[in-house]
Amino acid sequence: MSALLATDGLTKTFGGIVAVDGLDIAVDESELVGLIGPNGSGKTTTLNLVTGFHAPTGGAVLFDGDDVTGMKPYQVSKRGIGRTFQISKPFGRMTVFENMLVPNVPYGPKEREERIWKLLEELHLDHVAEHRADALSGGQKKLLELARVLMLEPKLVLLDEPAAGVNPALMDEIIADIKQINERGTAILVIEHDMSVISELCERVIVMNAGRQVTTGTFEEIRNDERVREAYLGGA
Amino acid sequence: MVSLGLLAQQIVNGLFFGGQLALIAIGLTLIWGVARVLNFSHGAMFMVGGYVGFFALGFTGSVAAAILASIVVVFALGWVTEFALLEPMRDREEFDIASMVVTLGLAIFLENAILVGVGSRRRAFPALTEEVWRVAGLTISVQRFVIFLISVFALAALFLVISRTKLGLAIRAVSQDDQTALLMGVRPRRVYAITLGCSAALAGLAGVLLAPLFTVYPSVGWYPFLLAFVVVMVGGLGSVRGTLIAAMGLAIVRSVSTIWVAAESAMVLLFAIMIAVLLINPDGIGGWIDG
Repeated sequence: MSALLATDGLTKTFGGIVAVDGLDIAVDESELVGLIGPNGSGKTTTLNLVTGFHAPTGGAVLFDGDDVTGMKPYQVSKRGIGRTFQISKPFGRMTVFENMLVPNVPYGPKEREERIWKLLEELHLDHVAEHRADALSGGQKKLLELARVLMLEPKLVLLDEPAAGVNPALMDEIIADIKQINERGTAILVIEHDMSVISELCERVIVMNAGRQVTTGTFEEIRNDERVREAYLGGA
Repeated sequence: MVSLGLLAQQIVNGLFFGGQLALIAIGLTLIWGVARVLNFSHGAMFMVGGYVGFFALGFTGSVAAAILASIVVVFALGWVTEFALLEPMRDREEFDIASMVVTLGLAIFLENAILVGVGSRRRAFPALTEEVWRVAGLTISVQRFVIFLISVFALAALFLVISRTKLGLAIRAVSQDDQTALLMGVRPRRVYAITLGCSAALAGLAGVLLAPLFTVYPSVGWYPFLLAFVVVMVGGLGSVRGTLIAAMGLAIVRSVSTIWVAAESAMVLLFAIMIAVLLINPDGIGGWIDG
């Protein structure tokens, strides 16, 4: 398999602080990869660099065979990278259905509506389609964000802490949904602090610390890796 | 004791005045709500609309052409304002303040450019019609009625665009969260420019519609701007519905209060209402009605 997303020496400094330091990571097509690391290790900054919210100080982002370094977020989204946020951001003063209409997709009204209903059903949101988005529960907001980003038919979805603020009862459902989306061929890179979620979801895990990749492997492999323990415990 | 007839007359007058106020104020609130600009050049857009209408009328002899020309030219002016003056500053942290200063500068520039270019003389804009209807004891100026109808039509069109179209959806998305909108493939900068254009076009339309009442001169925009500012503060900066309610409410209060006090004193009353509303709820009427 060829790498769908690859960063090559990706670097970002804020003033004197190096947030991402020559990062080389790769995500293959249809892969479901976890991105973990202690707070401040540069995970969210990496997502911001890949999606065009920050311009990198150095290095490159390659996606689907093209150099997308420094592209604007709407250009990146058009090429097939979708993203959700740590704190979910539905458009609160719109209904769930209206939220689904926002993504800029090329097909006509009828096909668009069919797709919306299909996604809402799959993510168990069809019964709240006419509710205002700010009236949803934390978990439903995460699902809506996911459904909305899937409207763009991305090749890769970046999920920033899908488990944060979600009722545990709904968590199993979200995990199952993420797996299902992945099984249909969408590659997923997920940042998550909840290790039970990572172990259940991810075939492979990338561990970051201080802006670099420490190691990568299956959950079992990285769990027994001395370097990972050091990264988390701050040992020298 | 006030006669019911006089009261009814003043309410009708207030309603017509409210339509005019809403036409000016909605653009001001929309620009803030969507593009985060407190547009001090909104009155200048009104003024430019009046001049474009005046010259277009002289050139073509058609009122419809004058109205159309004002809308088109002032839309373009709003669009260019966003692209040339505001966009380069959008990434700065102090954009709110900078945008006020820049639009104030633009207002002064436009006023003086007109002063240099066409002079300070007041240009009389012919009345659409002098006709007056008498209905159920009320005196209704046909001109004011027509202005009211056109205002209602323009605002209804705006509401339809915002609530029913893809562009409107993009406008609402950007006004709530421009970063997320970006990820959805929406381009906020284009939405800002269209919003600036539409808001300016509303001010330009008001400028030409009200030209028969105000006449046209370089500083003609400041008074309507000040009134619109009061309306927007009471209605809630950024709230379209709140601003509409405030425009109608304040216009009727002003109109009815002139039964007892002079028109200037009625202005004092409007400012007093504004201060009271801001003291109780800084988000204005919008803070109560928009969830």
